[in-house]
Amino acid sequence: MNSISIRKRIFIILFASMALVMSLMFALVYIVAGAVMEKTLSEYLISAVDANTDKIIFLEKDVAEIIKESDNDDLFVDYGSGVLQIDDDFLDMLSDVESALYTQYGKLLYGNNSLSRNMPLEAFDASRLYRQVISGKRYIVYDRKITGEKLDGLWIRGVVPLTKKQDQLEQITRSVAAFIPVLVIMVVLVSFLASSSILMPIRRMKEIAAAIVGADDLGKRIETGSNRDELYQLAVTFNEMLGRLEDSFNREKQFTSDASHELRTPVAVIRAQIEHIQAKEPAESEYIEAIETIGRQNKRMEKLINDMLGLSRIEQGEKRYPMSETDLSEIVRTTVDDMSRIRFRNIEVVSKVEKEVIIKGNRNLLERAVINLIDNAYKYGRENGRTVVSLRKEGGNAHLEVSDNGCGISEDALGKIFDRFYREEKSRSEVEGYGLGLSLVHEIVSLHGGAVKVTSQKGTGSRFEVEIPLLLR
Amino acid sequence: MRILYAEDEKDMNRIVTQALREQQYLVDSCFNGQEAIDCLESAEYDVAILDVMMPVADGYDVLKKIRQKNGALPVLFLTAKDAVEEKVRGLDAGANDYLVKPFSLDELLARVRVLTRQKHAVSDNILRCDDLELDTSTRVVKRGNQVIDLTSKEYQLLEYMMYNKNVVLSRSRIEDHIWDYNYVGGTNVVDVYIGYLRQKIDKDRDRKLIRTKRGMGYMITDE
Repeated sequence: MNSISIRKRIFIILFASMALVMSLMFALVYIVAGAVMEKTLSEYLISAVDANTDKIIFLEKDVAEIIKESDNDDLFVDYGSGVLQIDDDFLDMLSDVESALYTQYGKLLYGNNSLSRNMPLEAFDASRLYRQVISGKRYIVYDRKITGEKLDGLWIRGVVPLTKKQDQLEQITRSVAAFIPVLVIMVVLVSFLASSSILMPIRRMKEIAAAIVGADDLGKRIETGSNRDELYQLAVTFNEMLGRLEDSFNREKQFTSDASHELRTPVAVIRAQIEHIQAKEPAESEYIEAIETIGRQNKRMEKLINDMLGLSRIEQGEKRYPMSETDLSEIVRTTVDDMSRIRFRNIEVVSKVEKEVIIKGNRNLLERAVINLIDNAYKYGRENGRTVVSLRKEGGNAHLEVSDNGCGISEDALGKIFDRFYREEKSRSEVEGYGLGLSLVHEIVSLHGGAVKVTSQKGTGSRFEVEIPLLLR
Repeated sequence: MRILYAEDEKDMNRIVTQALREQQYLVDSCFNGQEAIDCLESAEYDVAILDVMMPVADGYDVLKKIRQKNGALPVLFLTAKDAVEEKVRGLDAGANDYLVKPFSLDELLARVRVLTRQKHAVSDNILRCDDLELDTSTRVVKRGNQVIDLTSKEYQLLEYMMYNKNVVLSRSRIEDHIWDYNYVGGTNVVDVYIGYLRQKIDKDRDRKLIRTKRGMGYMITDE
């Protein structure tokens, strides 16, 4: 397990990348500055050497004698058949650039400085810069051949030490180094603040989530803020999840509360009945009445428990109820047949069933659904009325319709009719049942990938329509 | 004692009504809230026992009506909802007591006695008038050490009068309270029963407890 917090990680990444960028920049500055300085030095060297080339004139010896007398500042060096007059502007030492005049065989003619003398002789190389290390020091060297009347074979060699560049770079490094502590502090500070500010909304989310856990209040929501960034998306998604959680939690709570209410009622009646009969010496008729009451309430409880178990089993889905090719036509036909036998409140059941409506389904569940729909029509249909059951193929679906001509359902109740334990108010005392029948139908149809809907008009009757996809062959 | 009882579960309604009647209470039983509200319009009750979940109008609706009309009537809520919030909601709405189903009939009867005591501002089950004692829990009536045997109606009449000790009760008020709707009014049934009570309580006694206030009605008094 990696236990480094995200905040630390962000901090480390920021810090490392900033440090890397800064080192790279420093290296770049170092290299570029070095290159620039070297170029400047080179140019300086070239211009210094070039400036010296025209300071040398070849004179015949007699002419030289005459000039020597009138111009004492210049230097005169014997060269071949004549004399070289070296102007006193010839700068053998200009700043750090040292120039010296050589014959092509390497004999030093002028430039009386230590460097020129100590330089080991290298072949002259025309107009090219090269580096050389002399007694541990690095130099740039530039050779220039002198052209002119009788000047062939003369070379000027200029050198400039690289120590100058080195010194300057060291100075830059030192001044940068002086800034390093400040930079480090700044990098740390910026990394710290950045990691905090990035994590701020996440921290807030965490606090709200903790509040929800602490207060056990699923009604709370995370503030989404106005900035539609990734965290906004996260907060919205999180809130959606909370909403669904709250919904299902509330449904579950409602179910538990309703179920316990429904179960308590028969238990309460049985208890009261037993206590009442035990408190006195009852007549035989009272005994009989008591037993009947207990039997009735017991049956009611049994049915309720069965329905509740049925519902919870359906939730286990196909594991519990395997699906196979099923002839819905046959199921509807036989169920209508059975149900019409137990004629209730003298309601007639008529059916119109198309043959071979084949779906993938579970026979027991589908039977149960059809029974519950007809049972519902029996309970709420008009006395001496009629219930119509029809089944047909329609647009890739099996279309089952059960309609009655009873009291109808109020608009308010239509939306809740498939809710568990929902019963229309007036029916509570007049009709037996717990409001589980239709929610069973709903669950069964959903399990088969279908949908059930209801349309109704108060006073004229209700129509339940079930659609389940046909089996494709 | 006249009790208003509303419960939509038929078996429950029958059993509790029967148990209350066996305790000499006069019971009007209703199967929904609206019936209970209608009953409130036409009679005066000592206690109301209301199921909370009822069709048409629920226990809260009836309670609201009661508090609008007759503030002091003690109300007991009966319900299968046992969550604490439900109890708090019921009591806050003005119910005097709250009993969760399934309940014991004995407990229900005891709580009804508590509520009638509260209504008449007495602290135990024994009502006294001079040396006459009436125990509302055992229904035993004594004068001195002598136990007096009373019929159901005689008992109801005496209990009502003792709860209203030193108060003059008109004939019609007594009639309303002790006899239910099935009784055809306009007879001298009250006078007849007062006569029976006098026979059993005051005959051969120096101190007569039941007095007739001419033109007004009857009262029991120890003054």
